[in-house]
Amino acid sequence: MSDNATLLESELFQQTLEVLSAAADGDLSARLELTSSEPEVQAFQAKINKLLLHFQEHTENYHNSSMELAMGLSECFQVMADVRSGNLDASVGELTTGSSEELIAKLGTGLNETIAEIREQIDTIERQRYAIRELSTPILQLWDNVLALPVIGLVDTRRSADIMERMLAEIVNQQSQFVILDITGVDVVDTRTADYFIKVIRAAELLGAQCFLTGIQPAVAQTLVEIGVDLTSLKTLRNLQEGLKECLRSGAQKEARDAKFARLGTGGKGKGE
Amino acid sequence: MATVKLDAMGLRCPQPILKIAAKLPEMHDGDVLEVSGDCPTFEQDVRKWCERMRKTLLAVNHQGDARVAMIQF
Repeated sequence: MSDNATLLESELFQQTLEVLSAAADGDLSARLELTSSEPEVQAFQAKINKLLLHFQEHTENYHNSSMELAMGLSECFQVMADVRSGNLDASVGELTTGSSEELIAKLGTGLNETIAEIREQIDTIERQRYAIRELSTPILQLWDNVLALPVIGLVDTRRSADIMERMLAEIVNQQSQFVILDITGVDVVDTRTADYFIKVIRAAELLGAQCFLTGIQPAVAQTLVEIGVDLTSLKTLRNLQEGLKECLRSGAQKEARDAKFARLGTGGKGKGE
Repeated sequence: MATVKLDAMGLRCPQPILKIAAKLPEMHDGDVLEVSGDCPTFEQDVRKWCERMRKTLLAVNHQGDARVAMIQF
């Protein structure tokens, strides 16, 4: 048997081949047993083991580091998707923001800061929107029992709902008998806007308040006639001043009626006695 | 609810996980992502990912050397 054949069949060679084959297939945990009595062979085996350990550690480090990056990126993607679907409470967790991978930690932190800024800006916009809403539909106590709603600008579904909600609440709170809806500041009225006004006035009347629509501009009147909107069911007056006069007149008439009824009631009672 | 297939065959860690991450924005609640891969650490990585991302790993099927992971969003 040749020296080569002896070497190939030796236990040392077979064991080395097995360990290296396993390593080539991805299993870097296998090690050579240091069984040889020859110091040179043992040193050789130890070197191979050291090399395998080095590869194993390097591979594990690479795997862990890569996974850390992948996990962090995944979380950032998830948070971005959540934010895009409207969830501004979403945030990148501490596992990512505190990651040992600087890049991914900074990405997570930056994303959280961006979300916080967006949230703050949205809060500001909401506050401004609320303020604009309050300013755009002021409700004035014009006289005893008389409320006035000066409407300025365009009236859409949302604004008409605001007007109706605030006006009805104010009628109940103030126990007002008269409401003047003044549209001097409304330049454009279409069928839908006219419908909003009719609904607002009808709702107020259901609460027992008498309503007047004032300040219809010539151009608006012309448009309403052209598009065939019927406002005859509403009490319309030229301007806010006329509206107030009408409220005071109606109020005085009502007071006179009430006083008359009161007298009749007292008189009737006295007669019966 | 839709089932989306993702081929990660031949890719080594962390590429399959990055491919899954890139799919995230397209997925909706209840959707299932069917990912196939043959990286030695594929199953372990997918399990870790699901745990961290709080997704449900419905099953991991073995098809020869390949694994097919079913992830519900």
